Amino acid sequence: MRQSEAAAYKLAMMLTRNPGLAEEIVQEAFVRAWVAQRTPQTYDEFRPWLYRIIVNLIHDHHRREAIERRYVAEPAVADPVSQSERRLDISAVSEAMNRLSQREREVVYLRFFENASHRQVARMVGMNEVGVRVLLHRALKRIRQAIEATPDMGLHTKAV
Amino acid sequence: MKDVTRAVSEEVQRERASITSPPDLHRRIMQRVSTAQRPPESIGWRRQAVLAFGIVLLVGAAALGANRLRANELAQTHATPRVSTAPTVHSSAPPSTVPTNVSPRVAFLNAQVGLIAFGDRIERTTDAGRSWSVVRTSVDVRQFVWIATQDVRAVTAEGLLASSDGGLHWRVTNREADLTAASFPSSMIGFAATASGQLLKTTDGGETFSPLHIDVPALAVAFQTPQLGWIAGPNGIEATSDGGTSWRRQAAFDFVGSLPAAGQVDVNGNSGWSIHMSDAMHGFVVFQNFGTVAHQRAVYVFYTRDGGINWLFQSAEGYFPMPTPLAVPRGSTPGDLVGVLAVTGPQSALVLSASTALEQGMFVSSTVDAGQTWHDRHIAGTSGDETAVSGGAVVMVAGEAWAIWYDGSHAYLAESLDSAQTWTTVTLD
Repeated sequence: MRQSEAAAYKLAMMLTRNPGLAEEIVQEAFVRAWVAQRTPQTYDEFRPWLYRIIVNLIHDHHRREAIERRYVAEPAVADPVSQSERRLDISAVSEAMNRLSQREREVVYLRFFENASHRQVARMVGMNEVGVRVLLHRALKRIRQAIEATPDMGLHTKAV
Repeated sequence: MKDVTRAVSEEVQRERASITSPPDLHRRIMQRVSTAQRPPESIGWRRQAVLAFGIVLLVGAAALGANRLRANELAQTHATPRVSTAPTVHSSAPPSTVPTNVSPRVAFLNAQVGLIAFGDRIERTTDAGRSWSVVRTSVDVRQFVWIATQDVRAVTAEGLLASSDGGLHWRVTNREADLTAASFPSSMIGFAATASGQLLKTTDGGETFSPLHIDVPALAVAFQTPQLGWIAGPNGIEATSDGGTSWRRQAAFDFVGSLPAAGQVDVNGNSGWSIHMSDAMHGFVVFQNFGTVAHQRAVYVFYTRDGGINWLFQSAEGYFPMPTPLAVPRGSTPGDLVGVLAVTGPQSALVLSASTALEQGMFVSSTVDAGQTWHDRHIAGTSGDETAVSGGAVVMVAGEAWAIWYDGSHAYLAESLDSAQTWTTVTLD
């Protein structure tokens, strides 16, 4: 069970980049699992089911945030020091992944977090399989373009 | 694109590995979950009717099967040679008509004098378990309650037994059926829970009982004094400070759906609930779900350090999926609790469990932090199928500990002389 909790937290953290929010979402996800009438009865089924709850909760959070932003027009000021410090250890791939849309990020992380199939990812994000393939392809293409646009950080696909 | 895919996959894994979850995440999740209410499951009238018909058929089939099983068990009990070194002193009672007790019990007054109940009999020791004497047969004991040096009660399937000579001789004081647990804060005043969740009170040492009004079913009962007591059951915990006249709710649960379908106790008379107060402030409430599937046989441990004002959900390892197996009091080896919790101090307790996972066999798990963490100690192997271990008990008095269990064919007694660190086991029957 603790493995599930840790994995759930890691996924939530990767999708939100916010430790407090990630924990809140994981706690809420487990509560929803607890009150659910039809909790999957095997571990293999439970994990993706839990991840789907997490993804839905993150969507809910972003929806709430968007509504709040409409009424509280206070622009978030980025801390230039922490931003630059953080950038030092972030790879070009990571940078490129950060620029993806929320939906693209979800698909990418869910696909590679536990090597899920397109079908499993589709179930987790509530899309059809084709939609997931398209979204993933587009996301990977954008990452590639971003990396190639970064000086000295392109993918070394050709033998030197 | 393949290189991008690989690079992204590696980046996700790198990021995943770099994230560490908060150290008390598990505990905070459990606390949050423990306060969540499960909505009642609703089914249509057609399904109810089909279900009711199915239950009638199943009960009929089960009764038929149980009679056959009972006959087989009785035959097996009498055919099995006794391999224990314990001598049988006397057995004056008529041949047993009571089915084999598959939830053996053990209770010790002090390090020397103790009682065990297994099969259909009670045995007694006065030399710290080196030798045992049969003191009563044809009895199915569910709990021993030691009140004073000579004064001890046995809660049985057929009523209450009392002994005024430390368990040597027994007499039936009351034939109140289906008692599952009792607590005697004094020799005369006692409280007993029935299989249907009723709470009874006696003021004459158990000769007569009268029902008390409570708002929740009582399947476990613990009284510190004739006035101060607690009850626990699938709907919650209540406490009284006036001897049971008035009760106040301390915790609300929703475990009804997890109880055995046929009623609130299983076929062995186990309600799954137990409550243990080490003093007026500190105590444990434990609930085990006796599910037939391994991962459903989960244990929930609650603890209070303030007399029950707050009951904290104490979780340890457990199987998934939720909701049934929230907390199994095991440190590393998931297993099934088979013996009710033995409280050995304000924050310490022992529990007996059988494991089918990782390392197989019988374990005594101990906690010294009120059930938050458990340390497992392998005490014995089993004859094969750990899932057949249906019941047992563990107790510790003055640094000596005993554990008793039934593995589907034999009863075993294990003894530890060093505060449950090392154990030796004998076969009882």
